[in-house]
Amino acid sequence: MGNAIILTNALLALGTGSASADRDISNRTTKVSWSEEFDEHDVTVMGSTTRVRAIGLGESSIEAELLQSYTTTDGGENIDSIVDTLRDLSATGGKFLVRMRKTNAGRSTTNPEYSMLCVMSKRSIFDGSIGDVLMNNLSFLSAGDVTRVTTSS
Amino acid sequence: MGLAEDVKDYLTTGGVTDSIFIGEAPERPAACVVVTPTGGMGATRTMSGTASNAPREHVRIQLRVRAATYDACSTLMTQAYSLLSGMPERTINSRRYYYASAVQTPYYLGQDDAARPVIATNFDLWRTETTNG
Repeated sequence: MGNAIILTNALLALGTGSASADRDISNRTTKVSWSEEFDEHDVTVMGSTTRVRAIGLGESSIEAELLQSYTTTDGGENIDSIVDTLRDLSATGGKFLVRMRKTNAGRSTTNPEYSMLCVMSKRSIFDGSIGDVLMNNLSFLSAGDVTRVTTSS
Repeated sequence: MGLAEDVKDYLTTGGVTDSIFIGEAPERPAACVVVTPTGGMGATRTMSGTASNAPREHVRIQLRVRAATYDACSTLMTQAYSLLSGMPERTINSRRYYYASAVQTPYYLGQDDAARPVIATNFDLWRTETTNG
């Protein structure tokens, strides 16, 4: 029987430029979801005995749920400030790098790092109710290919 | 310090001068407040490789108040309830408490073995799981 993976310590990092993703927001993150899908085209022709599909352009998106923050003094990143920077970056044609690993440890074959240049097409400025934990849900869209790296970092 | 000790200290600082006990109350004095931790909803965790450092922990207490008369009991409960219902963010004994909210308004629990009225209510509190928060 294979071992289960309990997700407790994933790495989610992003940058405010395309060169690096050094802002580790893991300790604000409660959930992260990253998916990729491609346009699918029907290229079935006369004589085909089954439908034939071809894959077209791809698209990837990242969704993350974070505890909202307005400070770095508690040991985490200022999420409100970062999101505002990413908003301005995206609005002026820029991209930013996002990295993720299953475990916040070095890259390896058992802990691959996925990365991708992204843009932010929408943001949550404020969404909360009295007594609730104030959250900030991030949503990023692909602006480049998804890269998987297993070499040690 | 534990949850009940923190609440006890907060009530004392807030001006409750009657005896405050943790868990259960002795026979005397008649007028007293009892703070008893009960089951909360647990922690809101973020990604971390360290145990017991969740940024948010949801805990719950039961508050019971006893006095010689119903009026005295009600007055004491009102004092304690007013301090805890909607308690804003503060640090108590090195732990950050974000908020407290009453689960329900105070209710009459009945009389104890010495025929003294007891009024109770429950509070939800949100705090950091660690004292480093």
